[in-house]
Amino acid sequence: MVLLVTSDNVQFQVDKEVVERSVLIKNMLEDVGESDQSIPLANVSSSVLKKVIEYCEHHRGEPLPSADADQNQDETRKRTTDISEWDQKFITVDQEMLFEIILAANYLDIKSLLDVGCKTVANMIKGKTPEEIRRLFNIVNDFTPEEEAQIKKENEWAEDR
Amino acid sequence: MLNIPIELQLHIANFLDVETIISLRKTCTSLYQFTHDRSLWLDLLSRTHDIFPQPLSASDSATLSSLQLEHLIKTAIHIERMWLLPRKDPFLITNHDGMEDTSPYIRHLAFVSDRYLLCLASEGRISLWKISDVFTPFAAEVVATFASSTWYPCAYHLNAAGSVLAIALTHVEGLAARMLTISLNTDSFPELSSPRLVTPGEFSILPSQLIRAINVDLEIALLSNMMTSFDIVNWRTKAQATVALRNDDPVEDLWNLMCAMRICGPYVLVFRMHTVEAYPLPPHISSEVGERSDILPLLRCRYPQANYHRASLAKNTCIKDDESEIYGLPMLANDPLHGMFHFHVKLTVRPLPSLSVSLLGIRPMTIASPQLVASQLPENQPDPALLGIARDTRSFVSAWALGDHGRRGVWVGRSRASTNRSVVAFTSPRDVNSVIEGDRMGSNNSLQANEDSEGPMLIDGHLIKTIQSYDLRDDITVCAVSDTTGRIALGARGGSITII
Repeated sequence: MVLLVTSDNVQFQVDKEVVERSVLIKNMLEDVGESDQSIPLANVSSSVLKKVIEYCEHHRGEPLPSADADQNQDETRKRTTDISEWDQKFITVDQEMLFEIILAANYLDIKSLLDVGCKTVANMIKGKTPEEIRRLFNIVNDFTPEEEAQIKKENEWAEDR
Repeated sequence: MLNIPIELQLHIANFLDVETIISLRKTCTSLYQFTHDRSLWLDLLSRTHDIFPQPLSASDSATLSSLQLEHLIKTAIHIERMWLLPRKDPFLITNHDGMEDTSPYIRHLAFVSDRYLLCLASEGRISLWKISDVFTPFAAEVVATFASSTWYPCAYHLNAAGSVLAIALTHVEGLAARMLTISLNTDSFPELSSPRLVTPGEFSILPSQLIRAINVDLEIALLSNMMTSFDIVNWRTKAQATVALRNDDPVEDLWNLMCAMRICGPYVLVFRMHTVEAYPLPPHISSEVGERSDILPLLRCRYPQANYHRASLAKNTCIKDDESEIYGLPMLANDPLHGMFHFHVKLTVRPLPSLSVSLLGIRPMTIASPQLVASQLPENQPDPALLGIARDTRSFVSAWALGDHGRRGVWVGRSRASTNRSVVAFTSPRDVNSVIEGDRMGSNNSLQANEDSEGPMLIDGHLIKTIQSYDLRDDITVCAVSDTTGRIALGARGGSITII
């Protein structure tokens, strides 16, 4: 078992096999060797870590992606925004939590979780108009009317496919 | 979205299409800047590669800025959308030069490097136009012309570097040939030098000989001698060789006429009505060929079923490394009885020489036997009769062409008892680039035709233009396609050229 301590000082006892889905923690454990020391995760709150552990528990035992998978051309080509059913249910959270999970997955280096999070955001945006995207993320339109007209004109080619 | 680090924003963008990226751009200044990130457009390029006729190599895209990458993708998307739509506002190029009484007959029409249109016509007329960019209105500016009452153009070739266009001329009496070159200097302005004669580039021919193809890099001309042999001539050294055509079956090969020739590496590819053959280039013809062609075997491959009188060849691709040397050549051919056939010819020089033909797509236009063509389509394909292809029966094709990269093609059809000429465009039903990649991966050394396990697909042709032809002058006799700009040039019997 490994002891994790969150930014809000909550302790989590987690199976080594589960927690090692995080490449960051896996490397830490390898560097430190066997020890009873707790691992502080200053960038992750307890509510987020709970979700992350739930994800890692579910995917326990699945092969980890190899380090050079990113370089693989075929993988890039076949990249889709499909998300498995369990992952979809798991990631149905409010927007704030979604971005917290993405940040945590990035910090902890859990590639598959990062992908699930980013795909979810992508699916939220896909096909939306600029105004809909602004509403979705509370983005303030800071263009001048002239700038806005100019940008619209320059990018007409991408409209109405 | 705004409160996460840029590398995570980029990661999200990896799952977005171009349209959504542009929507993001329009939301606020911060995301506006973000959507100009170079790595984002490099990633989009890798994901939209299937709409590019020619895959961009990593070294090509390495030097491009994000704006240039965006422009490339923008252009490719635009052309992909327009390609199968009906064409409006044709742009007419008259080929008369004010001489109303003459109407030169167009022999060849071709897009050169997707930027120029070349026309070789009778009466020694050569014209080269520069074609306007994709996003500007149609325009064609004459950049080079040549006319001679005694020397007629018959074949052309663009060198591998894309900088020199060579044109072969034969004397009106048919006893001599000479070479003309036009430099396409892409770096300086004016872009072109006027046509000039190659010296020494003259050689003698026989009146019965026809220059079928030339290669300006090797300085070689290929000439057909009636039906039994062809000649190879090096126009600089005057080295010459006569190669007998292989004829296995005395009856069938009697009518196995030559329709096209092309030099691919150390081989001469000969396209005949029933077969494709590869003859090793004799070493003494060109120093570039080297000694190795001595040990290369003659290769032959029979087309599945049909007969082809003419073939439109794309540019050949070449994969060359330490172990292998493979040439790929997309080709579009018409069998007057059966329809349009889209092939991929693969010539392997190393590790083991082999020649094969894969049928990528068929468009049946059967007069004689619909079952024959239907039987060639795999079972999971819809029945051609159900797709309204019956419309195509009793029609014939007067001109057809494949783009340089073999991804897009066009044919001009004509129905009996109708004054309409239909211009039909299609996209290759199979990704030609993936066919080549697949060839590279699985080394198949069989000499059999149609080794492709996936089988041919139905060519999904779209009617994009109807032309009224009340007399023979408006008949379309030649056409050309530019893969990367989506433009089509149609040459009428009366000598006029239309770009659509």
